[in-house]
Amino acid sequence: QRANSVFAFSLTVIFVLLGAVAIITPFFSSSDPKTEVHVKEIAVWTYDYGGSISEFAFVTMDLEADLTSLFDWNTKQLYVSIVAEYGSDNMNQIVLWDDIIRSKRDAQVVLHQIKNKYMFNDITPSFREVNATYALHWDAMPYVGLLQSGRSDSIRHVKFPKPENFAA
Amino acid sequence: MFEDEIATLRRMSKRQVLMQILNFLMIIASALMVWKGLALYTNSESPIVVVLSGSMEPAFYRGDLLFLGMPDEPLRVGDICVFKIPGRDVPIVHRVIKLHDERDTGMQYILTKGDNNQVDDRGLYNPGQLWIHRKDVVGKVRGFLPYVGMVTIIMNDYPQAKYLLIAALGIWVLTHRE
Repeated sequence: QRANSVFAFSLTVIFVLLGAVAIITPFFSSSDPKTEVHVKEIAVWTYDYGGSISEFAFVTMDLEADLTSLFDWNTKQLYVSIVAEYGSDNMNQIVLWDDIIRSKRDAQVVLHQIKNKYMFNDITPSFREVNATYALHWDAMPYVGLLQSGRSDSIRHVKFPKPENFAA
Repeated sequence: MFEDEIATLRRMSKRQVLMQILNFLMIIASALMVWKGLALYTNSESPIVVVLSGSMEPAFYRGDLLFLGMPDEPLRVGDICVFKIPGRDVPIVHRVIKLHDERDTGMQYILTKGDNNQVDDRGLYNPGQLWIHRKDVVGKVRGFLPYVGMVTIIMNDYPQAKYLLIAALGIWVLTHRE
Protein backbone atom coordinates (compact mmCIF):
# COMPACT_ATOMS: atom_id res chain seq x y z
CA GLN A 1 0.00 0.00 0.00
CA ARG A 2 2.87 2.30 0.83
CA ALA A 3 4.59 1.41 -2.41
CA ASN A 4 1.43 2.42 -4.21
CA SER A 5 1.35 5.90 -2.69
CA VAL A 6 5.09 6.43 -3.12
CA PHE A 7 4.77 5.46 -6.77
CA ALA A 8 1.80 7.75 -7.35
CA PHE A 9 3.52 10.66 -5.62
CA SER A 10 6.75 10.30 -7.57
CA LEU A 11 4.77 10.09 -10.80
CA THR A 12 3.01 13.34 -9.95
CA VAL A 13 6.29 15.03 -9.10
CA ILE A 14 7.85 13.94 -12.38
CA PHE A 15 4.94 15.23 -14.40
CA VAL A 16 4.87 18.59 -12.61
CA LEU A 17 8.60 18.93 -13.21
CA LEU A 18 8.32 18.12 -16.91
CA GLY A 19 5.40 20.51 -17.25
CA ALA A 20 7.40 23.27 -15.60
CA VAL A 21 10.35 22.66 -17.92
CA ALA A 22 8.07 22.70 -20.92
CA ILE A 23 6.37 25.93 -19.94
CA ILE A 24 9.45 27.85 -18.81
CA THR A 25 11.54 27.20 -21.90
CA PRO A 26 9.89 29.68 -24.30
CA PHE A 27 10.28 32.50 -21.78
CA PHE A 28 13.97 32.06 -21.25
CA SER A 29 15.20 31.61 -24.76
CA SER A 30 16.58 34.66 -26.45
CA SER A 31 17.36 33.75 -29.96
CA ASP A 32 19.43 35.83 -32.27
CA PRO A 33 20.53 33.67 -35.12
CA LYS A 34 22.52 35.12 -37.96
CA THR A 35 22.25 33.38 -41.26
CA GLU A 36 23.21 34.02 -44.83
CA VAL A 37 22.33 31.96 -47.81
CA HIS A 38 23.98 32.74 -51.12
CA VAL A 39 22.83 31.15 -54.30
CA LYS A 40 25.90 30.65 -56.45
CA GLU A 41 24.35 29.21 -59.54
CA ILE A 42 21.16 27.73 -60.88
CA ALA A 43 20.84 25.57 -63.91
CA VAL A 44 17.53 24.39 -65.25
CA TRP A 45 17.46 21.30 -67.40
CA THR A 46 14.62 19.50 -69.02
CA TYR A 47 14.38 15.80 -68.59
CA ASP A 48 12.04 13.22 -69.94
CA TYR A 49 10.74 11.98 -66.62
CA GLY A 50 8.10 9.31 -66.48
CA GLY A 51 6.93 9.98 -69.98
CA SER A 52 6.61 13.75 -69.87
CA ILE A 53 9.14 16.51 -70.32
CA SER A 54 9.69 18.44 -67.10
CA GLU A 55 12.07 21.09 -65.90
CA PHE A 56 14.46 20.34 -63.08
CA ALA A 57 16.54 22.93 -61.33
CA PHE A 58 20.01 22.35 -59.97
CA VAL A 59 21.09 24.91 -57.41
CA THR A 60 24.47 25.43 -55.81
CA MET A 61 24.55 27.47 -52.64
CA ASP A 62 26.79 28.78 -49.91
CA LEU A 63 25.57 28.83 -46.35
CA GLU A 64 26.90 30.75 -43.39
CA ALA A 65 24.94 30.52 -40.19
CA ASP A 66 25.48 31.08 -36.52
CA LEU A 67 22.66 29.28 -34.77
CA THR A 68 24.23 28.85 -31.35
CA SER A 69 21.76 31.24 -29.76
CA LEU A 70 18.93 28.88 -30.60
CA PHE A 71 20.36 26.17 -28.35
CA ASP A 72 19.23 26.26 -24.75
CA TRP A 73 19.26 23.59 -22.05
CA ASN A 74 15.99 22.13 -23.28
CA THR A 75 17.00 21.86 -26.93
CA LYS A 76 17.48 18.34 -28.17
CA GLN A 77 18.25 19.14 -31.76
CA LEU A 78 17.82 21.72 -34.47
CA TYR A 79 16.45 20.83 -37.86
CA VAL A 80 17.62 23.33 -40.45
CA SER A 81 16.64 23.51 -44.06
CA ILE A 82 17.17 25.80 -47.01
CA VAL A 83 13.78 26.46 -48.53
CA ALA A 84 13.04 27.91 -51.93
CA GLU A 85 9.78 29.73 -52.24
CA TYR A 86 8.27 30.94 -55.49
CA GLY A 87 5.05 31.54 -57.29
CA SER A 88 2.80 34.50 -57.74
CA ASP A 89 -0.63 32.96 -58.14
CA ASN A 90 0.17 29.75 -56.40
CA MET A 91 2.63 29.44 -53.60
CA ASN A 92 5.29 26.76 -53.72
CA GLN A 93 7.78 25.82 -51.07
CA ILE A 94 10.50 23.24 -51.52
CA VAL A 95 13.13 22.05 -49.11
CA LEU A 96 16.37 22.01 -51.07
CA TRP A 97 18.74 20.92 -48.36
CA ASP A 98 18.37 19.96 -44.75
CA ASP A 99 20.46 18.89 -41.83
CA ILE A 100 20.06 18.03 -38.19
CA ILE A 101 22.27 19.82 -35.68
CA ARG A 102 22.58 18.00 -32.43
CA SER A 103 24.80 20.16 -30.31
CA LYS A 104 25.71 23.77 -29.75
CA ARG A 105 29.23 23.15 -31.01
CA ASP A 106 27.93 22.13 -34.43
CA ALA A 107 25.62 25.10 -34.64
CA GLN A 108 28.05 27.32 -36.48
CA VAL A 109 27.67 26.27 -40.04
CA VAL A 110 29.86 27.35 -42.91
CA LEU A 111 29.32 25.28 -45.99
CA HIS A 112 30.27 26.02 -49.54
CA GLN A 113 28.97 24.67 -52.79
CA ILE A 114 25.97 22.89 -51.32
CA LYS A 115 23.97 21.17 -53.99
CA ASN A 116 20.28 20.60 -53.55
CA LYS A 117 19.63 17.30 -51.83
CA TYR A 118 16.15 16.83 -53.16
CA MET A 119 14.69 17.04 -56.62
CA PHE A 120 13.79 20.58 -57.44
CA ASN A 121 10.89 20.49 -59.83
CA ASP A 122 7.53 22.13 -60.05
CA ILE A 123 4.17 20.42 -59.89
CA THR A 124 3.67 21.59 -63.46
CA PRO A 125 6.23 20.72 -66.11
CA SER A 126 7.72 24.19 -66.26
CA PHE A 127 8.98 26.83 -63.85
CA ARG A 128 8.13 29.56 -66.30
CA GLU A 129 11.23 31.49 -65.23
CA VAL A 130 9.70 32.98 -62.10
CA ASN A 131 11.64 34.54 -59.25
CA ALA A 132 12.34 32.53 -56.15
CA THR A 133 13.45 33.50 -52.67
CA TYR A 134 15.81 31.33 -50.67
CA ALA A 135 15.77 31.33 -46.90
CA LEU A 136 17.02 29.24 -44.03
CA HIS A 137 14.31 27.67 -41.89
CA TRP A 138 14.82 26.02 -38.56
CA ASP A 139 12.81 23.91 -36.16
CA ALA A 140 13.97 23.59 -32.57
CA MET A 141 13.01 20.34 -30.91
CA PRO A 142 12.99 20.27 -27.14
CA TYR A 143 13.59 17.43 -24.75
CA VAL A 144 10.18 18.22 -23.31
CA GLY A 145 7.66 20.77 -24.49
CA LEU A 146 6.64 22.79 -27.50
CA LEU A 147 8.38 22.83 -30.85
CA GLN A 148 9.53 26.25 -31.98
CA SER A 149 10.32 27.21 -35.51
CA GLY A 150 11.57 30.24 -37.31
CA ARG A 151 13.11 31.43 -40.51
CA SER A 152 15.67 33.91 -41.66
CA ASP A 153 14.86 36.83 -43.91
CA SER A 154 14.63 35.71 -47.46
CA ILE A 155 17.47 36.80 -49.58
CA ARG A 156 17.20 38.50 -52.87
CA HIS A 157 15.02 37.06 -55.51
CA VAL A 158 16.79 34.82 -57.92
CA LYS A 159 15.31 34.15 -61.28
CA PHE A 160 15.14 30.74 -62.79
CA PRO A 161 17.10 30.73 -66.00
CA LYS A 162 15.79 29.40 -69.24
CA PRO A 163 15.95 25.66 -69.45
CA GLU A 164 18.58 23.90 -71.47
CA ASN A 165 17.74 20.72 -73.18
CA PHE A 166 18.97 17.39 -72.05
CA ALA A 167 17.65 14.27 -73.67
CA ALA A 168 17.60 11.61 -70.99
CA MET B 1 -3.08 -13.52 -4.10
CA PHE B 2 -6.55 -12.15 -4.60
CA GLU B 3 -8.18 -13.84 -1.55
CA ASP B 4 -8.65 -10.54 0.27
CA GLU B 5 -10.37 -9.00 -2.70
CA ILE B 6 -12.60 -11.98 -3.37
CA ALA B 7 -13.58 -12.10 0.31
CA THR B 8 -14.43 -8.40 0.18
CA LEU B 9 -16.46 -9.00 -2.95
CA ARG B 10 -18.54 -11.68 -1.25
CA ARG B 11 -19.23 -9.51 1.76
CA MET B 12 -20.62 -6.64 -0.30
CA SER B 13 -24.29 -6.55 -1.03
CA LYS B 14 -25.56 -6.53 -4.55
CA ARG B 15 -26.34 -2.82 -4.28
CA GLN B 16 -22.77 -1.98 -3.31
CA VAL B 17 -21.40 -3.95 -6.21
CA LEU B 18 -23.65 -2.03 -8.56
CA MET B 19 -22.48 1.24 -7.02
CA GLN B 20 -18.90 0.28 -7.67
CA ILE B 21 -19.66 -0.56 -11.27
CA LEU B 22 -21.39 2.81 -11.62
CA ASN B 23 -18.34 4.57 -10.19
CA PHE B 24 -16.16 2.75 -12.66
CA LEU B 25 -18.37 3.82 -15.58
CA MET B 26 -18.34 7.42 -14.33
CA ILE B 27 -14.55 7.43 -14.37
CA ILE B 28 -14.50 6.10 -17.91
CA ALA B 29 -17.13 8.63 -19.03
CA SER B 30 -15.25 11.60 -17.60
CA ALA B 31 -12.00 10.41 -19.18
CA LEU B 32 -13.81 10.24 -22.51
CA MET B 33 -15.17 13.76 -22.00
CA VAL B 34 -11.68 15.12 -21.33
CA TRP B 35 -10.37 13.41 -24.46
CA LYS B 36 -13.13 14.74 -26.69
CA GLY B 37 -12.81 18.20 -25.18
CA LEU B 38 -9.11 18.16 -25.99
CA ALA B 39 -9.91 17.06 -29.54
CA LEU B 40 -12.26 20.05 -29.92
CA TYR B 41 -9.75 22.49 -28.48
CA THR B 42 -6.92 21.42 -30.75
CA ASN B 43 -9.21 21.06 -33.77
CA SER B 44 -7.80 17.63 -34.48
CA GLU B 45 -9.59 14.32 -34.27
CA SER B 46 -6.76 12.65 -32.41
CA PRO B 47 -4.86 15.22 -30.39
CA ILE B 48 -2.36 12.89 -28.74
CA VAL B 49 -0.47 10.21 -30.66
CA VAL B 50 2.33 7.79 -29.94
CA VAL B 51 5.29 7.52 -32.28
CA LEU B 52 5.34 4.03 -33.77
CA SER B 53 8.39 3.96 -36.02
CA GLY B 54 11.95 5.19 -36.05
CA SER B 55 11.63 7.19 -39.24
CA MET B 56 11.91 10.55 -37.50
CA GLU B 57 14.99 9.81 -35.44
CA PRO B 58 16.87 11.43 -33.79
CA ALA B 59 13.96 13.78 -33.16
CA PHE B 60 11.34 11.21 -32.19
CA TYR B 61 11.84 7.68 -31.03
CA ARG B 62 9.36 4.85 -30.74
CA GLY B 63 7.23 5.40 -27.68
CA ASP B 64 7.31 9.20 -27.57
CA LEU B 65 4.11 11.10 -27.11
CA LEU B 66 3.15 13.91 -29.48
CA PHE B 67 0.65 16.70 -28.94
CA LEU B 68 -1.13 17.80 -32.09
CA GLY B 69 -3.15 20.74 -33.18
CA MET B 70 -4.75 21.58 -36.49
CA PRO B 71 -4.15 25.22 -37.27
CA ASP B 72 -6.53 27.27 -39.36
CA GLU B 73 -3.85 28.71 -41.55
CA PRO B 74 -2.34 26.58 -44.31
CA LEU B 75 0.46 24.16 -43.62
CA ARG B 76 4.01 25.23 -44.31
CA VAL B 77 7.20 23.49 -45.31
CA GLY B 78 9.06 22.15 -42.28
CA ASP B 79 5.89 21.44 -40.28
CA ILE B 80 5.81 17.98 -38.84
CA CYS B 81 2.42 16.47 -39.52
CA VAL B 82 0.59 13.33 -38.64
CA PHE B 83 -1.32 12.10 -41.63
CA LYS B 84 -3.13 9.02 -42.84
CA ILE B 85 -2.91 7.66 -46.35
CA PRO B 86 -6.44 7.25 -47.68
CA GLY B 87 -7.48 3.65 -47.33
CA ARG B 88 -5.07 2.91 -44.51
CA ASP B 89 -5.48 3.34 -40.78
CA VAL B 90 -1.91 3.73 -39.64
CA PRO B 91 -0.99 7.35 -38.91
CA ILE B 92 2.42 8.50 -40.10
CA VAL B 93 4.49 11.25 -38.53
CA HIS B 94 6.72 12.95 -41.08
CA ARG B 95 7.83 16.40 -42.14
CA VAL B 96 6.53 18.46 -45.04
CA ILE B 97 9.30 19.01 -47.55
CA LYS B 98 7.42 20.22 -50.58
CA LEU B 99 4.29 22.27 -50.88
CA HIS B 100 2.13 23.68 -53.64
CA ASP B 101 -0.72 26.01 -52.75
CA GLU B 102 -3.41 26.52 -55.36
CA ARG B 103 -4.71 29.98 -54.75
CA ASP B 104 -7.97 29.52 -56.65
CA THR B 105 -9.11 26.33 -55.06
CA GLY B 106 -7.25 26.59 -51.77
CA MET B 107 -6.03 23.02 -52.24
CA GLN B 108 -2.66 22.15 -50.82
CA TYR B 109 -0.45 19.54 -52.44
CA ILE B 110 1.93 18.19 -49.83
CA LEU B 111 4.94 15.92 -50.08
CA THR B 112 6.37 14.47 -46.89
CA LYS B 113 9.50 12.67 -45.77
CA GLY B 114 10.75 11.17 -42.57
CA ASP B 115 13.95 12.77 -41.27
CA ASN B 116 15.58 9.38 -40.95
CA ASN B 117 14.52 8.13 -44.38
CA GLN B 118 16.62 8.61 -47.46
CA VAL B 119 13.73 9.10 -49.84
CA ASP B 120 10.45 10.94 -49.68
CA ASP B 121 7.16 9.26 -48.90
CA ARG B 122 6.00 8.64 -52.46
CA GLY B 123 6.87 4.99 -51.87
CA LEU B 124 4.40 4.96 -49.01
CA TYR B 125 1.54 6.70 -50.73
CA ASN B 126 -1.02 4.75 -52.72
CA PRO B 127 0.08 3.65 -56.20
CA GLY B 128 -0.19 6.60 -58.55
CA GLN B 129 -0.58 9.05 -55.69
CA LEU B 130 2.09 11.74 -55.73
CA TRP B 131 0.83 14.15 -53.08
CA ILE B 132 -1.28 14.21 -49.98
CA HIS B 133 -3.76 16.92 -49.13
CA ARG B 134 -4.82 18.81 -46.07
CA LYS B 135 -7.76 16.49 -45.53
CA ASP B 136 -5.34 13.60 -45.08
CA VAL B 137 -3.57 15.42 -42.26
CA VAL B 138 -4.77 14.66 -38.77
CA GLY B 139 -2.75 17.39 -37.11
CA LYS B 140 0.51 19.27 -36.87
CA VAL B 141 2.96 18.43 -34.09
CA ARG B 142 3.09 21.17 -31.50
CA GLY B 143 4.54 19.57 -28.39
CA PHE B 144 6.41 16.54 -27.31
CA LEU B 145 6.85 14.26 -24.31
CA PRO B 146 9.47 11.50 -24.43
CA TYR B 147 8.93 7.81 -23.57
CA VAL B 148 5.42 8.18 -22.12
CA GLY B 149 3.79 6.43 -25.04
CA MET B 150 5.75 3.21 -24.43
CA VAL B 151 2.77 1.86 -22.51
CA THR B 152 0.67 1.83 -25.67
CA ILE B 153 3.37 0.07 -27.66
CA ILE B 154 3.82 -2.62 -25.03
CA MET B 155 0.07 -3.16 -24.98
CA ASN B 156 0.04 -3.51 -28.74
CA ASP B 157 2.91 -5.91 -28.94
CA TYR B 158 1.83 -8.06 -26.04
CA PRO B 159 -1.98 -8.26 -25.94
CA GLN B 160 -1.86 -10.59 -22.91
CA ALA B 161 -0.49 -7.65 -20.93
CA LYS B 162 -3.49 -5.61 -21.95
CA TYR B 163 -6.02 -8.19 -20.73
CA LEU B 164 -4.08 -8.73 -17.54
CA LEU B 165 -4.04 -5.02 -16.83
CA ILE B 166 -7.76 -4.61 -17.44
CA ALA B 167 -8.61 -7.62 -15.29
CA ALA B 168 -6.42 -6.40 -12.42
CA LEU B 169 -7.85 -2.90 -12.72
CA GLY B 170 -11.42 -4.24 -12.69
CA ILE B 171 -10.86 -6.27 -9.56
CA TRP B 172 -9.11 -3.36 -7.83
CA VAL B 173 -11.92 -0.92 -8.60
CA LEU B 174 -14.65 -3.28 -7.53
CA THR B 175 -13.12 -4.03 -4.15
CA HIS B 176 -11.87 -0.62 -3.06
CA ARG B 177 -14.51 1.76 -1.92
CA GLU B 178 -13.59 5.45 -1.99
